[in-house]
Amino acid sequence: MTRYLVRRLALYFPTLILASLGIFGIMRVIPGDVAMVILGGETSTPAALAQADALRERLGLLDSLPVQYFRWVWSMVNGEFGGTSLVSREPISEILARRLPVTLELAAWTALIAWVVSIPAGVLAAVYQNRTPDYAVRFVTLAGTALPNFWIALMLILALLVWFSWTPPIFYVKIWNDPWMHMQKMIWPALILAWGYSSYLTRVTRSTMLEVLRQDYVRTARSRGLVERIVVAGHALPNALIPVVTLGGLQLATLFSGTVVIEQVFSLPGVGQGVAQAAFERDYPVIQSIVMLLVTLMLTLNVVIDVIYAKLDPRISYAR
Amino acid sequence: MKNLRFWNSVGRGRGLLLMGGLALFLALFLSACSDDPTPTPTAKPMPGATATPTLSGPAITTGGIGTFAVRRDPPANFDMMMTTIWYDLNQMGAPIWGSGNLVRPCDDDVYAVCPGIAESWENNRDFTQWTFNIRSGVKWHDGTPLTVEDVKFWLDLMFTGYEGTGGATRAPAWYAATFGKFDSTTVIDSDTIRITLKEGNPLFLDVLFTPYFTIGHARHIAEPMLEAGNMEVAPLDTGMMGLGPFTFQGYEKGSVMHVLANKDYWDQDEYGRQLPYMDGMDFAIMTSADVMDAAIRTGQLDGGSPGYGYILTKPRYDAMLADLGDKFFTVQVASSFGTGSGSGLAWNLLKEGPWQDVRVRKAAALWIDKQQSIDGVTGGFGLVGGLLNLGNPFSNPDIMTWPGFNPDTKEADKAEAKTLMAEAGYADGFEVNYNCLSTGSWPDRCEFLAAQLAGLNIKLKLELMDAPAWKVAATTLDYGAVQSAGGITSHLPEPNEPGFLPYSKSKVGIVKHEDPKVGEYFTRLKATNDFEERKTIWQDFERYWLQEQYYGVPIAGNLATIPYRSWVKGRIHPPEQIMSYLDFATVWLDK
Repeated sequence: MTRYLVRRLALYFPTLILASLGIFGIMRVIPGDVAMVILGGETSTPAALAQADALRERLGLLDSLPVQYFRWVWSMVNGEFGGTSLVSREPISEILARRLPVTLELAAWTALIAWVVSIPAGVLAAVYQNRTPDYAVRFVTLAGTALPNFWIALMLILALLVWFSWTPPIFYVKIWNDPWMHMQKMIWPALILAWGYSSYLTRVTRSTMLEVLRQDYVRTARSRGLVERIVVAGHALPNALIPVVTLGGLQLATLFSGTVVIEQVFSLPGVGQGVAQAAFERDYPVIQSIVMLLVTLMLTLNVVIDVIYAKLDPRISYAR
Repeated sequence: MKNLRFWNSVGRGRGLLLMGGLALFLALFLSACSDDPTPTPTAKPMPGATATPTLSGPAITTGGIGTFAVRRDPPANFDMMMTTIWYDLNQMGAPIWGSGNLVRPCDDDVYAVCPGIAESWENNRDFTQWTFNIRSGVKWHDGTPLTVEDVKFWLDLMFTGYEGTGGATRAPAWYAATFGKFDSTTVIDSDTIRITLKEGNPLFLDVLFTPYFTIGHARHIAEPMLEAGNMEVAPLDTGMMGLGPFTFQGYEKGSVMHVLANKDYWDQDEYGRQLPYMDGMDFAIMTSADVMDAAIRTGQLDGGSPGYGYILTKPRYDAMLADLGDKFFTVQVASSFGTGSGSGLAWNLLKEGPWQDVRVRKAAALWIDKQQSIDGVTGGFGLVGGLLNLGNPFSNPDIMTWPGFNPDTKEADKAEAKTLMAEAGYADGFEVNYNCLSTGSWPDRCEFLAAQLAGLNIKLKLELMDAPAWKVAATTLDYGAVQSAGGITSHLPEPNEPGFLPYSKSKVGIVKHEDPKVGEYFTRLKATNDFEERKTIWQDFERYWLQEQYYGVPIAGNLATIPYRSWVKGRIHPPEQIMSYLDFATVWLDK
């Protein structure tokens, strides 16, 4: 296991460097200029032109690309976490400190709802394969996988409006300021994200359960006269959950990408909304730093899940 | 009835999918919601607010917290000197800074200049000196009295920028040059300040009263920061210190800004009652127009955002009307100055192509059905005009009778267009690249024009790009033969000069050309202060541009339709200046 971890870590850092180059390069290929965004495109007067040039110089946009790249990388590792926003001049660490808790909380609620719903639903569908509960679960999960979450969000808001003359609060408030209002704001995006996330988990749970329920040891358990509940919950489920944990963990990282749109729709001031705003504004350091954070998170989760996988399933060994 | 409205709103097919999908959610979480609208967090009402009028005049209700939508966080930390993106900035900033500065547009005539922080003013005979008497008793929101030195600081910062002791410099405001050639500011006495220009500008006040050239840099806070080397000091850095009717209370980026009434505000209404009427306001940052609509319908929002993408389209208006009836109203503002030049087709005459032939340009101008563009590109709320808005005193009043504009002669115009194309040798048409913004309603405009011109065998090859890319492309000649958009930013002709000048003099010209006659029109305009003469010159120019040279083809501009709940009273909304009186000082809530 130790050799495996060392090998993974040896790949971890080159992957990060490659990712940073890719992110930096993509941002520079996209046409547009943050100075033009800040100034609103106004370059019609000598003063405005001078201001645009001064702004570009001040923002370091006139430096060569390698200089800009290494300046950003250095700011990533020296504790500044990417430096400051070009548009608002706010330190990126402060932007993250403000926005990340919102997104993490959203992700946590999403994961909680999804896991609570998907495991029983997946088991139910497997146990009642090709019967009404299975069809119902498959229908809901298929819809959850296929429907884009921004569309579901808009339809949900419309439905709440028309049926209950109610819409979620328009402001975000912190949970310690007003827990009830906070939950009214947070629950809907969490539910929508959870629908997509749990659909995936439910389908994985169902298929792994179906596979496990056909194993010899399950048949043996039944032949010993154990009640079906014990067979399913005590013998089949623990083994079926191993791939679910793995894939579910990996999906958790991709969950963050889903927050970009959903935070926009629900006006949630999280990282997703921040990324979208930074992209529109060509705020290079903010996008680069946040995307790098997500890449790091993804890579780390991969390693962690591999370790957990080995712990959960004693048959798996990374030793050669 | 409720269900009928629902089907009308979402469509039957989508509704079926919705019902299936939402059944699970609603069943599980219905209990989490109350049927009653939950009170939103608001700024704390000012103690002692009264709900009865104390002086004569129509009865109003004072107090209450208004809640209004804005589209996004403003750029540049609310620094109006740094950015031209004033829509969201001014909507959130005007209540704090006030509408205007030393002067402001009059509430009953957007083209007239009314007193602001300055009580009165005078100019010398050659318009090189403008002297302002500053109103006494005006205080910054922290209680610091406004001094004439504060005004000088703001004017100098705007006109010349700042030079710090360490050699660091701050550039002037982007709009500084629109005032003419600045020379100096001089404090005459404790109430009087004089602005001296190197060349006389009879229109100095007409530029100065632009409602978003606001006083957002308080000297007693900003100057020490500049001296400390922070050349980018912006209003947000100074705690949003202002002189306006509301004081800044808090701002959570991406969510909300709170303001409270300034009990020391210098202005009263015409009956002598203290402004503002409301206790405060919350500006909710709504990142979706649909969600904004829903919040207005439930009463969480008292009013919508005036920004593009958020102003109502006809279908959204109809849905709101079906739901709310007379419980809401809209104000309509011809917001897109230059309904034509800023939103239609503009030729790049510095690139070779069939459009060099004026007959081809005329054919396109005659062919495009501008009336159809109202439904086609503005969502049903639009109007067709010339280079400036219809109703603008500088516009040609008979423009809708011109060939290409007159809906009654459209068939004859189209026949003539075909003939002109044949005469020019392009009966089979041609292909031309067309830079098109990929955001908002711009693709609709591009597709409308492409569909229209296809009938004349002119194939518009759309080059879609987002705003930053479009802005870069628009200042170069690397794009295709034509471009869309651009923009007229002032109700006065002169400040729009850069948008029309030859490319050698202004790279941001909407049409790329080297026609010296265009520059001559503006030279003549700037040489006179006689309103009628200036009007005649501009109207001649508009005719030259649109009916002689056919440099551009206007299509409909948006008639900004902003929804408010019917309990919102007293909103001043000049029909041709969307940014005026966004300070909401005269707004009251009749809840």
